[in-house]
Amino acid sequence: MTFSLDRVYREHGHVVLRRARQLLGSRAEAEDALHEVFLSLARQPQQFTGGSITAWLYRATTNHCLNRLRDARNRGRLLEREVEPAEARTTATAPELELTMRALVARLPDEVAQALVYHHVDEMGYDEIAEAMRCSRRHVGNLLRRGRDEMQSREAVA
Amino acid sequence: MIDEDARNDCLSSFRLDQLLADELASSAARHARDHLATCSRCSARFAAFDAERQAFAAAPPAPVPSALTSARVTPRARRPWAWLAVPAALAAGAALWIARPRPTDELEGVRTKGGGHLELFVEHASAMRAGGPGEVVAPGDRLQFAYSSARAGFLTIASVDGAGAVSVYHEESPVAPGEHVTLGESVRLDGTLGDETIYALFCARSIDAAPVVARLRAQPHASPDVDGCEVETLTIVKREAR
Repeated sequence: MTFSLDRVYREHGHVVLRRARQLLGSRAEAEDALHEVFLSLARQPQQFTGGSITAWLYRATTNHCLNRLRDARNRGRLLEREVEPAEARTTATAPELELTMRALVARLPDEVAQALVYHHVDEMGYDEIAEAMRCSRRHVGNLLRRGRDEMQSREAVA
Repeated sequence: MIDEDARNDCLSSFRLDQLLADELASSAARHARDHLATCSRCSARFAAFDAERQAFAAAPPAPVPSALTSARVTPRARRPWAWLAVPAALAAGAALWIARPRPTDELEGVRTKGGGHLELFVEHASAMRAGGPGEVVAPGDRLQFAYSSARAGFLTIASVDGAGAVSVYHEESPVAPGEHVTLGESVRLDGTLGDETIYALFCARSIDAAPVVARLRAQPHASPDVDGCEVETLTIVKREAR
């Protein structure tokens, strides 16, 4: 089965745009991420090996945004950005939590950051994250515990 | 702030998106729709996602990139795990590895912007297996690394063990674009137990590893950010062998 990529873009691009907006905090940044993710797929279509295109777009968007947040050239701009106004939002994640998450995931190890994103932003349960990350539920618990410790230490410093 | 899996009853954004995309198996879709019928919060989220989808399809926020108009995606056929155990080859020091295909529903590990991806293999008691996040290993196991990268660059692999000791598992070497490229050396694990974090730095230019090591010693649990590098993190768990 073969899919035309512009059709995939039209039918599934909203997923990338929403998640990137949540993670990066601005529509302009999210639109850049949207293009980067799809251009990456156009350049290397073999990245998608079948199955759920939604799953592929979730992980590609997560990795793209985490890399963007970690990039020293972007970090200051992205972390200082305010969250979008309520009328522009379609998710229930608290704005202050999004800001905290963005600051945290920029400096956490990949696995911890991903687990936090899946749990807090995507509202996945432990089992879903374990399935998604191919690890045990216990390991998910450890990753989230490390993330919680980071959040608490950050609150203590603040 | 993190509830103990308090959201099991509600549908994650991921499940809602899969439902919208008609990607769920019939039983899972039925379960999701049953939940939507009784949960005002999830049904509101689902409606909002659907509205977003329709608005995007009708008028994408930016023109469809021209590179996409002629591009096509042909999923590769799914194969069973294809990595093979070759203890004899390992014993001879040969580097013969056939990497497994990555599961399609895996939400980790794909790099964008042409970055690299680290692959881990573990030799335990003369048997080899592909490793992943949370891999349980034992003292004396041997780790072998491979990478896939869409572009040329430089790769360094460092590790912080359960006692906070930092090791460089792979001194910087140039990497060429390719899939499942095996690194020449392997690592024999010592007796320090606990979580060990492995950092793979895929860099556009050559870097000095010394500041990276110093940073890891100072902040063992923080990703060693280096300008121009993408860092992939993999945590393994070292326990006494049973």
